[in-house]
Amino acid sequence: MNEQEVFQLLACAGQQTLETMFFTMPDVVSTGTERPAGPLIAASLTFEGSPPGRFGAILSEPVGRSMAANFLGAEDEEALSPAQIAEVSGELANIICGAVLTDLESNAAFDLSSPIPIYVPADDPGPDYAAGAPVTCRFDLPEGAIVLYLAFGTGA
Amino acid sequence: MAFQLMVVDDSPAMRALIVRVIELSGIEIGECHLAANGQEALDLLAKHWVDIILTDVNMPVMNGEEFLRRLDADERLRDIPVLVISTDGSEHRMRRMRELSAKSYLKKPFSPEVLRERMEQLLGVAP
Amino acid sequence: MNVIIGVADCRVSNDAEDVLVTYALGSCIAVSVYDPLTQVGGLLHFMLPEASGDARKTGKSPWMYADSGIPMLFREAYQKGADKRRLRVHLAGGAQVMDPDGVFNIGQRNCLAARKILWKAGVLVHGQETGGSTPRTVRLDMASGRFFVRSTDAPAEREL
Repeated sequence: MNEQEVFQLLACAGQQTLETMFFTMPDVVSTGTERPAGPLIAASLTFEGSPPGRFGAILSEPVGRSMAANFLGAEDEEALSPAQIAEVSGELANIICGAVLTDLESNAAFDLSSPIPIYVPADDPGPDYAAGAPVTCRFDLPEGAIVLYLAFGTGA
Repeated sequence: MAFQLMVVDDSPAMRALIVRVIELSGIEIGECHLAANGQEALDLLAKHWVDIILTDVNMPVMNGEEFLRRLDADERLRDIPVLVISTDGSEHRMRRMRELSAKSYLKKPFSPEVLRERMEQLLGVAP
Repeated sequence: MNVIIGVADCRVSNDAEDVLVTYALGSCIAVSVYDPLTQVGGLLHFMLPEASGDARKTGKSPWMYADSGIPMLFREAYQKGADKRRLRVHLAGGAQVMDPDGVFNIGQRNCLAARKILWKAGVLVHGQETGGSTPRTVRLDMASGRFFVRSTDAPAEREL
């Protein structure tokens, strides 16, 4: 499967997840890799399978907060704790990664590690998710952006 | 008749969402036991009876597949209906879980309404 | 008696002889609520997901938007004796009409807005028919609480 096809799967799985469990649809979908502005939440995980690899989601903090409120059904976004926002961001990465890998290899088993979410301050460049030339997919939303990245291979 | 449930998932966020769906479903619920992995679930099952188990697959300490294997091996527990809820929608995994007597398999992402329907089906309650 | 609800409009009833009807649901969404015990129900036909600041200032109908219309529908139903825990909720509409390339996706955005508001309000949807590309007509029978949909491409009425 070539990079364009993987991007399509990533975009599709991401949008389906955002609509189904986060009641959101992006304004723009692209391959853009530019760091979203401001503070971020970055959630990454690795997967064992054929092939193994890594996956991550970088969210603008306001997007992470909004997604957490939508997922948990919370009417007051400001009442959410940083831990809740981080956990939901990790779960978002987990769900999208699983959906993409299922579409890629529906006959093969894969095991996902538990996602590790971290907060990244506004003046911190954040994880170098572009290293190793992953396939990326960017969703632009009114409050900010989500960037997904997927790379295959050990040591990816 | 109030049902006793168990939710097994290492994600606190996903446990919170599932519990919310259960609470909003209109199904009469007695207790809802929560566990972060298969081992915690087995420890709880040693002390509490449940009418249905909702479990993830990818979990640390004891994953969903091993958990189902242990349920299957226990005469007391093997007939409890199990709904597997997982990101892994591979044919391979689904087949393995069904062989281990998972009664139903729900792939993530899912809508709250679909989860409610699956629970109603497994518990035999009218919508 | 047929009670016709227009675009950006809503009716709540406790009269078992009423049938609440709304036509020409393109990208708009119909939200229906019904309490089977008190036989209180309502039907909202909204056009857009959110009221912007300007819209609030110019006093546009609150029924035009999901974020103002849906809470008001529920409040009016409660005032007439409906109980949230008993409410059966249906959604219909959200088609992609006059936007064949899906540039604006208003129908889909309306559907997501309605589902999000309901989920946050602690209400699950009992039946939904949304999307597609043709307009729909819906009716809520107040005597029974049954909710019916038909569309241009599938004119036979079906119950959700």
